Amino acid sequence: MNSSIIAKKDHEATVNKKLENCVIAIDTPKKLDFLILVIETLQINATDSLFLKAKDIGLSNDFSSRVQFWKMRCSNPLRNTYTFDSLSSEQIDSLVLLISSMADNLYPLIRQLLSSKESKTLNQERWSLFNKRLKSLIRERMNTNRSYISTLLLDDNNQFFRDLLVILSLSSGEGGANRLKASLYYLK
Amino acid sequence: MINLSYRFDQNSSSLELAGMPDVSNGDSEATIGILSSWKLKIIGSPILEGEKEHLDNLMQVILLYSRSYISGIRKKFISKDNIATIFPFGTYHKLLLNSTKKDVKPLEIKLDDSELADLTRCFDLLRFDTRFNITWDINQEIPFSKRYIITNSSNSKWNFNFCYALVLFLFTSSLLLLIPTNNKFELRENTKASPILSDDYKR
Repeated sequence: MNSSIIAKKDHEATVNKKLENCVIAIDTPKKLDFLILVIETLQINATDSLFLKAKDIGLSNDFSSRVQFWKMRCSNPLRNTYTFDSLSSEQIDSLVLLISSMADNLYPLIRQLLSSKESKTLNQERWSLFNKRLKSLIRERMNTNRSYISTLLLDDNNQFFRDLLVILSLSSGEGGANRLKASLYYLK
Repeated sequence: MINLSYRFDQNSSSLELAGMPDVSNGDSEATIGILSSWKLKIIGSPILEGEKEHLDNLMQVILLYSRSYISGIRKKFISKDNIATIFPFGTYHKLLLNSTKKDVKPLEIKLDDSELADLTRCFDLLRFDTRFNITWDINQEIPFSKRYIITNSSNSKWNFNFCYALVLFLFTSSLLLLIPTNNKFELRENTKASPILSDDYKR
């Protein structure tokens, strides 16, 4: 077996390792759902790519059907169709691996949006397109009666969207999954 | 003596390390066990070079800053030996590098979000690379406590909500205290018998 594959397996094992003395943070479902929403904004037909990626990295049955995947995402309390379920640590690990590998694929696109060295007008156009698409997805899926969502939709500053992109960029790559996972838990 | 050199490129950052296998430690011919030099190129900034200790310090602050950034913490981080410092600077991130030599001014590097991500990915590639048998002096990614996140969070406006509520309550209470009340008011029993209606009719 190739040494890089061994290293990758070891790395995935550390991501799947259970964190001791930790509890799942309150905003974990919200954070994960919004990160997937950003992935969907950046890539058309992202759901198909997500399932393919999940199959590639050998994730559990939760990622084999759209309904199961949707149910997991409905743990976000800001959703229109909020189920009062909470995510298990195994589900969180799988979602972290999935988001991290998708962010790795989309890194060039994320980088373009975050870079200040790009042409200003071109960057503005990219951001307006990104905002428009993300806001339409939020309008479609989230509960717009919630003040948090209505503020997001009205806000033109979009710092929250930028923060989500920065989180995605820092979650990509070798250590990104570990970083993202650690941010989803609180130390007791 | 085998001299090895490996390079990690990530868009705006390029990290090159040179060294040799540590035969006493049983390293293979392609493994760097002893680091002899490193060179970091960030587009638009001077080339950074130094010893392992300097790289350790740089990795410490960059990786911790990135880890904290994901948790919504925007604060200053200083490396163990006070060689590297990073802090938020508007929408940018400022990296300050102190030289170990005397009378050398600290070097300032302004990074945008994409450059920070590039640098973080570069260091990630290095620390997970199996061609290196070097122990890096960096912290592992562990969750922070809720209290730490709340106190250091950039979005900690709600911390003041309780204070605002308390001040508002005390202010309205003190205003209500100023309203004069009639303490002399006495509750007297009405002793006068009311005339009977039938009496009126009699008249």
